[in-house]
Amino acid sequence: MSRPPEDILLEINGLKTYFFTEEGVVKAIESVDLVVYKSETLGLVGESGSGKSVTALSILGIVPDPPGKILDGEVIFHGQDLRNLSDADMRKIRGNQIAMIFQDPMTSLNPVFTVGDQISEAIMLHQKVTKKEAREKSVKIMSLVGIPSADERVDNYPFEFSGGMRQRVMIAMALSCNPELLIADEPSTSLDVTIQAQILELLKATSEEFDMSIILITHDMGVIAEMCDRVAVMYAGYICEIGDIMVIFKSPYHPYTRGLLGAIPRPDAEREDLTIIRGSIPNLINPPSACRFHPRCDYMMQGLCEHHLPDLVEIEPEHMVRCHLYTDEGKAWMQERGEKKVIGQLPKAITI
Amino acid sequence: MGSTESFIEKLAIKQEQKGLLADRIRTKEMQEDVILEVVNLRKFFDIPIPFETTWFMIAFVGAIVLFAFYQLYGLILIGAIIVLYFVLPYVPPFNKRPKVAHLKAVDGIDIQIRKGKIVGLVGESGCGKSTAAKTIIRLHEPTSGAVYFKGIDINRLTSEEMHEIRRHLQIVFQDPYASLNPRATAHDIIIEPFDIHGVASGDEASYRVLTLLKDVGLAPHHAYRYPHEFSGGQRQRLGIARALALEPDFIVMDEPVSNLDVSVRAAIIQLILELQRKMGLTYLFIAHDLSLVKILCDEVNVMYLGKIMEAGTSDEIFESMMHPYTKALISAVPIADPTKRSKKIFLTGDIPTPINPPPGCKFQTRCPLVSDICRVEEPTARWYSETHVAYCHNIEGGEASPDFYKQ
Repeated sequence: MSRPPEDILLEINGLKTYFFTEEGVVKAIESVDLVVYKSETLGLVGESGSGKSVTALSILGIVPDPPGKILDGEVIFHGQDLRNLSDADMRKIRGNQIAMIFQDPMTSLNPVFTVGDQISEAIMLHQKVTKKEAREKSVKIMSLVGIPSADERVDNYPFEFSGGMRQRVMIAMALSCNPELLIADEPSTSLDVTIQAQILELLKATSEEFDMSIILITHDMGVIAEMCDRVAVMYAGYICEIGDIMVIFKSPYHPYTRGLLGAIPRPDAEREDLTIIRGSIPNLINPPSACRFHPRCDYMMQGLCEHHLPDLVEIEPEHMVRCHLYTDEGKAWMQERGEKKVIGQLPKAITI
Repeated sequence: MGSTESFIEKLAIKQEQKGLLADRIRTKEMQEDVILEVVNLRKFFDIPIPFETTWFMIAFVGAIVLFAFYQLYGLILIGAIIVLYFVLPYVPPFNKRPKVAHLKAVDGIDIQIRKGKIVGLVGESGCGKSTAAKTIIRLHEPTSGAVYFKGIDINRLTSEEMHEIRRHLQIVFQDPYASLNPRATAHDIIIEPFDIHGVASGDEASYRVLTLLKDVGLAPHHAYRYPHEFSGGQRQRLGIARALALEPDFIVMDEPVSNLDVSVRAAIIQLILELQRKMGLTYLFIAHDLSLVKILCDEVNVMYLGKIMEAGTSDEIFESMMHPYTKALISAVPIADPTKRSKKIFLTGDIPTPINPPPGCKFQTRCPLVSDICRVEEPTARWYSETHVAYCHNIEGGEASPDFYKQ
């Protein structure tokens, strides 16, 4: 049930971003291939340092340079490669067709301007409206994202808002130009659970109302399960598994996805059900060779995983995995040694 | 354990020798299995209110203008204003303004912790859970209330006596990097408690450091590394090793895994559980991650704005919660299962500031069940079983006292 190509909103092929620091070259993203369809929510999940945020910054072309540099790959949005656009053209897309909200709303809002000024600025930059009209539009969008008495609050400064309200302002700013794609980088991580529920509900409602796609970056599998249609799991600069959320949560194919799901407390899990991924996240200045997960992997194939990087294999339509358990090389390896490696079931797999 | 009992005896003998009144140390008869009991504990912080400078500023600018026109008079005026600014706050009737406001971080909580149990304390940020934990082990002096550790009210002990009892009460902090001395090696960090308490020295101490490192899953060669050379998870292991050094009975875990990545978090949780099994430890586990608390804790206390809203066993809190706040809090937790997208209860607004908390029930500003009585009167306890208690005016059933169930 592969979807037709006209449904594709954004396509990333072979994206590669390095950071050239004094300690050495941080190979933040090695190879990222992604497709975002129209009006879907794609989750991008991984631990810190897996390259989720760098992927987002690379899409928008706002990787801090120096030290960062996009070395390779293409980001195709509406048939054109964003990497080939001039700065002026890119500015027309950024904040207009593709908007982004950041994790910490206090550092991404300007403390010396009122929130109304900041939302109007985005509107006036992309639309031919007067200052007065822009202000009216700001009030409208602020009440839309659930800020009470928006016509008064529009003249307040960011510090006069609470954390949850600030994040609403950020969302209002992102929505002000009706973007087709919203990149939400950990939008609820710094908020309390009750506030997080409010913000996620708001994102869900607005994505339906504006018919926009969302790339939701988070490390919380719970948030992914609540919000997303599809999910991409990242580890150390690679996408290791991407597919429909129901499939991934029920029967993950990649050992890392399996480990990640085993390491979080499930709704009806017991203490003993928590499993561990041994070792720790690699240092990306000197990452493990080939498959970067191999030193921590329980299914590692000696002589194969540390020398050959597995390709993304399509297990079933829309479900891709980057692991030698499913490649031809891997199968040959298993046959040669007469060993059979099958990924274990999740402890107390969810009964569906 | 044995050491504590002997400590109590020693304490009693010392008291007698000094001829002190025995009731200076207040003890309480506690149930056999209760290790720590918190009774109506309060901790207020004094927040100084700055003197209003607006009028002073206006006068000051006026004085400068005057000075520009009448040089000497202006100088006298400026002097007078400065003197008045510092003197006025002490002269009646201008000294009536309160100079401090009370931030009621913990406003009367009761907790009973049984031996060998993991007791959870959950709530949103700013609800006072960390302050409560620190006050319980007397890192903060409480404003009122008592904490009985094995029957002794620890807040009445002198600093010498407290020094002895600290061996049995330990804490693991949220941010392992901030709580470890960056200029000391792992060895120095873990050996410090031995030095302070004179438990071991020299080779024996070093040997015990290595054993501890092994217990928490670190290797002997880690002993001479500095905190910055460890990863986040390893640093937290080091923090745990330090807390374990003196073989305590009771450890406060103040969000020990909140700063860690998912895969590392599970490993630390496993370690915490394993140590508890092996050493018979008792934990007060503070967290805001409810799905973790659910699988980890035997009993759970839900806190909101300095007060306990509901307490009970883990099953009672997560399966048959009564309080509207608990219901909203639990429903807000994202469940890692796409087939179970839960129906959420959305609370409006944010947690109010604890400086001037609302009168009556603390939760009234956000409560979906709020009625007139909530705005005036604080709710009393309603017991749903011997362990399950909730504080709310608008919930059905329950008894006024737990004794009803004790038969």
